[in-house]
This record gives sequence, structure tokens and C-alpha cells, in this order.
Amino acid sequence: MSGRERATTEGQLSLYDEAVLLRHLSEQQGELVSDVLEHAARAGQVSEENARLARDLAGSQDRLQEVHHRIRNHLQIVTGLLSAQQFSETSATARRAFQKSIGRLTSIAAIHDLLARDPSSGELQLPALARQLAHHLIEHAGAVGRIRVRTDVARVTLNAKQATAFVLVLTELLSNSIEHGFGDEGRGEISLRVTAERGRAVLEVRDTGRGLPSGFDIGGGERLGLGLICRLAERDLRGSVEAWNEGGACFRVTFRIDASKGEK
Amino acid sequence: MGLRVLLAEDEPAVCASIAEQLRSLGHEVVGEAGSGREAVRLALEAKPDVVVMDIKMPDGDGIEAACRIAEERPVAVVFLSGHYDEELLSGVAESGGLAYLLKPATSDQLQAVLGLAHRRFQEMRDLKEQTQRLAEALEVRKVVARAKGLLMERHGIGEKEAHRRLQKEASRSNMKLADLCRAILAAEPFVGEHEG
Repeated sequence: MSGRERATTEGQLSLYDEAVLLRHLSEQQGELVSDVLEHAARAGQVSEENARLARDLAGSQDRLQEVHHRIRNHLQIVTGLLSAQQFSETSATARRAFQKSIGRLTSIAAIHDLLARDPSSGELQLPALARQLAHHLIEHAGAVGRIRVRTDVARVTLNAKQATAFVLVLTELLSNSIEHGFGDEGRGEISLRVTAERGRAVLEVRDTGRGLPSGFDIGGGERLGLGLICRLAERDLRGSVEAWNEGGACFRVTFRIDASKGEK
Repeated sequence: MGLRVLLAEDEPAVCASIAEQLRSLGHEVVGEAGSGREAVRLALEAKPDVVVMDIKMPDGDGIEAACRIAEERPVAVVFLSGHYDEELLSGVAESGGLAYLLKPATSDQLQAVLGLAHRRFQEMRDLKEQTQRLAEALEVRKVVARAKGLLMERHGIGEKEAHRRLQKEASRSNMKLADLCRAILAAEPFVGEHEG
């Protein structure tokens, strides 16, 4: 800038000044150009890297979809075989046992499906799933029109591990009410309620059926379903189970919502 | 109600399991296809009531196969797939499929969907046949009316008389009324030239 100042005060530039100024300018231009080139090169590297990451991601997503597909196929094999056996059994007890297993399998398929559709996180919207599950189990037991369901489920967000345990516990509780609360003929209502407050979730399933037998001990029974409920509630949900009679059987599972992503 | 079912599924174990499921429901599995191309061939050969079709299969996927079957010998198609996305659903709709079940399908679900699909397909086929018959009847009416108009104009006669003459000629020459009328209409340009 000194050359420019001199030029304004003196009105003209000496050849020397001009040469200095030009060299100075061209040095600056050169620096600018090399800066620009460097940035361009870096931008190129970044966009190449982005493209590579996008390709990797797309590949991973394809593979993930393939895995889900395979899981659904395997679930189909098991469902198909159990269903075929259920229909060919002549004993009612055996048929009911198969029916229960198919119900459990359907719940597992439902939870898998929900996780598969939202691969970015294990977060689950429970209300729709809980309703769907309840209606499915009632339909599966041939109790449509005989047993009504009322659901009041808060929008709880659970990670995949808790969600899986939750859905299995819910399946067992609902199946219990359908099977033991109402039997083959009973009519009534199951009310399903989930609330969440300050990181604690409460799941309540109440029915208007014949109630729990006297001396009922949830932890002491040998029934597979009850054992499952206790184990899942205590180990996977790190919660507790209570059961009592109040116009029918009532079950309450209380657990702390795990904020971590959990394993999928 | 037992149906004749064609099962298209490329995974042998899945195929065997679904086949068992279908049999236990009282259906007859009339064919098991392991590819899209085989599904098309068996749909033509085994003449099933319903096709249970997987989507992702080698050698022409299930949607393509359903389209081909719809062209050659339409039949009720129910998709049973482990894949779910919007794109697939639109392909399924385009192919004329009647239902889409996501694996795993329980026997209750299969039974409900197969029965409905079969029923709806029969209704659609009946409606198509009826439409075809009505279109033909309408065409006959048009042809007869035009031929009658021609006779009325040419011979200066009333509609009843034109109709009587047409019927008489049809029975004399042992032709269907509609065919006679078509012949008259086809000959009209030449007759006009000759007389004019």
C-alpha cells in the first residue's frame, strides 16, 4: 500500500515503485490462487469421502434389509409348521398349546417388524403396537365379539431390548386374561393401560373375568406364562410385578425406562 | 372350502412349511414354483384357483410373474412377502394382486385372505363376462337399427315392415339377424354406386 500512497501524493509512480507494486500484487494473487486450489482439492476429497460413505451406508442398509427378510422367512417357517401341527392335532389341549405358541411367535414377529421399519433407532411407539397385539390375540383365540379391549397407552419410548421384553410380557398378560379370565365361553372386557411419569413406566392389564384363584402366587407358580412374565419383568425391564383381584384379575408391571439406546 | 392353490416361493424350507400350512387348512397345493418363470408356467398348466406368490424370487420376481399370469390366464393372486416398502406396494397394486401379507402369516390370516381373494376374483370375472355380453348385445342392437334405417330409406317403408323383412330374409338364408345386418351394411357402398 505504500506505493499507492506515494502515487497519490506525487501524482505518478516511478518504474521501480510500479515493479515493486506489481510483484507484491502478483505474490498476493499467487497466494490466493494456491489457497483456492488447496480448498478445491480438499472439497474434492471431502465429496469423494462423502460419496464413499453414502455407498457404504446404502450397502449396509441393503444388507440389513436382507437380514430382516431372512428373519421373516425363518419366522414364516416356524409359524407355518406350528400352524400346520395345530390344525392336525385332535386334542383340544394340544391345539391350545400350539395356539399359544403361535401367539407368542406373532408378538415376536410384530416387534421385529416395528424395529425393522425404523432401523435408525430402537425407539418404539407402543400405542399402535399394543392395540394391534390385543386385537390379534383375541382374534387368534376366536374371541372376537366376546372379549372387548380398552386401551389407554401413553407414548412411551423404549429401546429395543426393553421394547421386546415389554411386548412379550404384554402378550403373556393378555393371553392369560383371554384364556384363564374368560375361558372358552366367558364375555367381558380387558383394559390395558400404560402410563409413564418421571422415567417410570407402569403397565396394567385388568380383566372382568373370573379372577385369580385363591392363594395365587405369581412367583411360585409353575405355569410357563407366569414364569416368563416374572423373569422378563425383573431381568430385562428391571422392574416388579404385582397381581391382585379387583372385579377380575389385575396385573401391574412397574419398571424404570432405560434411556440408553440399548442393544438391538 | 378347499381351494386349488399354486405356491410360488424360492426358499425350499419356507415353501414346504407354507405348503403344510395350506394343506392343514384343507386346501390342495397343485404346484410349487421356485421362480417367477416357473410360477407363470404352473399357473397356466395346473389351473389353480389362487396363487400364493412370494415377491423376491430369481428369474422374474413375483410381481412380474403376476403381470404375465394376468395377461395369459387371469387368476386370484395373493402376495406373501418378507419385504415391505411403498415401492413394492405400488408394484403389487399394478400387477392386479388382490392382497398382500407380510411374513410370517398365521393360518388364520392365510385362510381369511385366500377365501376373500377367491371370492372377489370370481365376482370380478363374472362382472367382466357380463360387461362383455352387454357390449356385444349393444353392438347387435346398433347394427340392426342401422340396417333397418337403410331399408326404410331405400324402400320408403316403416320400421315394423323393415324389421319384418330383415327377419324373413335372415330365416330364409339361415343367417343370424346381426350377421345379415352386418352384410347389408357392408354391401351398402357398392349398392349405392350401382344404383346411382
